[in-house]
Amino acid sequence: MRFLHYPGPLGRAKVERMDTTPLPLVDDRASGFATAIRAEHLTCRYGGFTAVDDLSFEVPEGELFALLGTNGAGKTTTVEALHGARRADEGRVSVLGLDPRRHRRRLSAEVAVIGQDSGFAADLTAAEMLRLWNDLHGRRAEPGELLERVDLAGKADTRVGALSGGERRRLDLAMALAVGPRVLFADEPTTGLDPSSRRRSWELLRELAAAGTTVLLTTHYLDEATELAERIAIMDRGRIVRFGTVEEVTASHDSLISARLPEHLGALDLPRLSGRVSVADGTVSVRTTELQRDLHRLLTWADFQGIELVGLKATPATLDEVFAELGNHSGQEN
Amino acid sequence: MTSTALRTVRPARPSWMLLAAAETRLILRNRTILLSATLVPLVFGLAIIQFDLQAVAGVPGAMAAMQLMSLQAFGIYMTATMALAARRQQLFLKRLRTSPARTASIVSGLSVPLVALVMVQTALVFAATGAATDTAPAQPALLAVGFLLSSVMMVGFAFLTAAFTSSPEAAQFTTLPGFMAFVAGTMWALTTPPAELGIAHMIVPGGAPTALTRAAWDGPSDWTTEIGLTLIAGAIVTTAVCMLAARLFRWQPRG
Repeated sequence: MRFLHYPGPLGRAKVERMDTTPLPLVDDRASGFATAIRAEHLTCRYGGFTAVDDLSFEVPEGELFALLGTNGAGKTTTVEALHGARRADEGRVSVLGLDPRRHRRRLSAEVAVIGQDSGFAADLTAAEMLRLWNDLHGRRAEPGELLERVDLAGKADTRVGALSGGERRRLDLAMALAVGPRVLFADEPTTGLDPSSRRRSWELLRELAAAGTTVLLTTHYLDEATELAERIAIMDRGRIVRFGTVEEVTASHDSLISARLPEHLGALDLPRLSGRVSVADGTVSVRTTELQRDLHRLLTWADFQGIELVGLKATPATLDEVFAELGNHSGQEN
Repeated sequence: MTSTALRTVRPARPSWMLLAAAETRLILRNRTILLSATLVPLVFGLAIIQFDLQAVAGVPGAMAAMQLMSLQAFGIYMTATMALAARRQQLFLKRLRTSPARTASIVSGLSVPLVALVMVQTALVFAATGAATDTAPAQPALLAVGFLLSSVMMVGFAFLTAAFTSSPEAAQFTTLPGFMAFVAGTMWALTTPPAELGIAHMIVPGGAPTALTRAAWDGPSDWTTEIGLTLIAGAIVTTAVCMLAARLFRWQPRG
């Protein structure tokens, strides 16, 4: 993902009015990729409420990119604007170089959407729904094979309305697979799935990405983003507040070293560390941005003192902590 | 310019046929919509044969016109509004909009099964009417034109009403004004002698198809004014309704 112009939480870019001229796809094959999804100063409002606020980013072809955020952060609105289900109030978007609203039919052969609500006719069976979708896309794939891939082979003749929430999510995924898309928008595709089905869905998303499909995934699950995404963006109140690889996003946050100290030792006995040291109930905790250096100092000191640091743990910063911090930040501002 | 050309979709059968087949299954599997599409219009259509139509117009054409409007108002207008609200509530319409199907194919696919069903019912009811009154349509081709015009008008009104209908349950109330307008338009046209029908009779809902059906069954008295003007007025009203529906109809629930 490359940001075209990201003003940051404190800045504000000049916003242009919507220009409906199709964007030419920026072909960056010389540098190894072409842009599959692009948002430029995307702004969406519901009445007076701004759900998406001046968002700009690009996703190159073949990348699996995750959009994270709390409820109401604007992820779904962003995805809907990107695949053309809703109009941008300001700014513009393109998919494979085309305006998704003006070129709905042309893009429909290349783009698949897994929405938060599946959009099935409740009285059709899973196999009928899948066959209809295949037929509309001119595909010859047998529904049985696709249903097998998402572990729904036994539900082929079950009406969609009788499927559980998790089964509907998997049918949704099967319909996306049926299209064989170049771009997949997956809005919380594993919500409501049991752990085993989630893992299976992850495998299928990975397979799609490996086959060259660009995947824009939104999720609440931080482990999902960590597991799948090459890059992530975290949204908060309609804006992107963090972006990059998981490592880049977590790099500026404190890692944690913890261990039990012998009873006769306290914080003052410890070596000089760059992180913040606290001792409670005989356990020392060091929050540091220099994990390797502080860990080395601590281990060297313990070795020199002949002390065993019982239960020693060194934990790099995680997305959970980044999220928690953003949550606190939002709470304070509110 | 894209890095590779976009694929072209070539379904084995036209999209509208695929959607119509799916819609037929959905109608057959939903008891409420099935009753609304079959039993209710058929009962009303056949019941009209028992009416003493001397009080209305006294000719079989009036009976046929009333039957056609009843069949279409129940079988197409009310049922299609209900079905559209249901499909939209389930976000099925939103999904269809992400498929390669053209807008016209989606509209046709959703409408054709109901129109075909009402066509069969109309044939049955008209046959019963012909037997009961010992008459036959004087202009069958004109009857078919009236049926088609009326069908398109009903579908247009259904999409228009569905724009203001949040759920299939709500359709029972939102279709009432339209239904009453069809009844009023039909009765106004029927209680006016054919020679006295004016443009006002033709532009009210149901007015033009009623005049056409009556004239087709009984035989038109004046092709130019009675039929020509009726067709033009009916086509204008139908086009206006369809354009308004295209402008106001939403494929997904309002968020």
